[in-house]
Amino acid sequence: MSSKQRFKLKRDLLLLQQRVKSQEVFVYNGCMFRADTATVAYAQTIQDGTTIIDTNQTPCKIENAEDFQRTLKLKHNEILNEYDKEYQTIIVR
Amino acid sequence: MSMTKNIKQSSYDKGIILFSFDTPELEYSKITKKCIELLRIYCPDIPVVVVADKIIDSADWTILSEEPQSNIHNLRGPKQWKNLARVDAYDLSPFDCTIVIDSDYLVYDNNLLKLFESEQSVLAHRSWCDLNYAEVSDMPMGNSMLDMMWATVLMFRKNTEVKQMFDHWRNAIKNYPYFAELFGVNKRMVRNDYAFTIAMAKMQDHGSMDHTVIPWNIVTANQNFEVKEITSKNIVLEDQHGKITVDQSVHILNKESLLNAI
Repeated sequence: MSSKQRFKLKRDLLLLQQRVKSQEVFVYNGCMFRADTATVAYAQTIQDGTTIIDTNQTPCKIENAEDFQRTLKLKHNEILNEYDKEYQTIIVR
Repeated sequence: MSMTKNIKQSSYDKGIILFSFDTPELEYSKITKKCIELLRIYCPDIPVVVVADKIIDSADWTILSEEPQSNIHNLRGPKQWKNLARVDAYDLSPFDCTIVIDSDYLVYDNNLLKLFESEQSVLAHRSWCDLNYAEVSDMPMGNSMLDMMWATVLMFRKNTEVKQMFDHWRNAIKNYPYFAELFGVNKRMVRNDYAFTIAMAKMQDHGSMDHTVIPWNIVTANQNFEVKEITSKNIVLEDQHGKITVDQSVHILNKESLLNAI
């Protein structure tokens, strides 16, 4: 692979990561959260009424923990599926 | 100043505002129309208001304004640049929650809608993704320890603190040579990003601005890129490394090339 091809691959992957980074952000009760692995894992520890901190360091009270976990997982899976699909397209180019 | 067209009263709670002033070198109104065309696809039902020196038909509302204070854009030679009206966004916006975007910020996703849903008073980008070098970084402002906040995409809600921030912004533009000397930036080209950053820093007493940061990076194609093609789904750019197709919102710095491709 030439250096030009390597750079192109790096750039296409970076661009894909940027899209994932923006799309994994979702708003819940007016606060912004990232549907990443850390938040998905952390969300398992919360209960109804727990206060958590959003991406802008703002406290957010989660009244319904199950609803939050469900929203988060759904978003996380949606993004990962899209990432996987796009990733495969990029690496076989 | 006069206003044209009416938008539904129910839409007044949130909306997007653009600034568009043609210069002898660049027909910004044409870029603005393209920007609105994409906003209609990716942010449907969100009213778009343009502050301009002529009526933009595709906008919901044009606020006809006198030409702003003139500025010089000195990348690739000095050119007239009428970018200083943005500081009036607070006074001119008819919305409770407003997103101001540069007309050369082409929207290819619905991420702006998330900013409306957030309850923060102000949100703007700090980190940028430079497509030319394929790198993500924060940009220090001159020789200071401040990281630049991008004024390219700015969400604000109307309240006393935000009004004060805009007053600081106006003051930074008015006294730009002083602040440019203080922060070690170019004195001749007034950059809104710098004036906005100074205003935000003042509001936070030069403390952390983390809570005002949009939690994703602003994808930027710098002057090295030529715009090859624009469709409603993506934009094709080319630099010394080759072509790249971008299907997410992107800030195009090479305005001449953008205009040629429209």
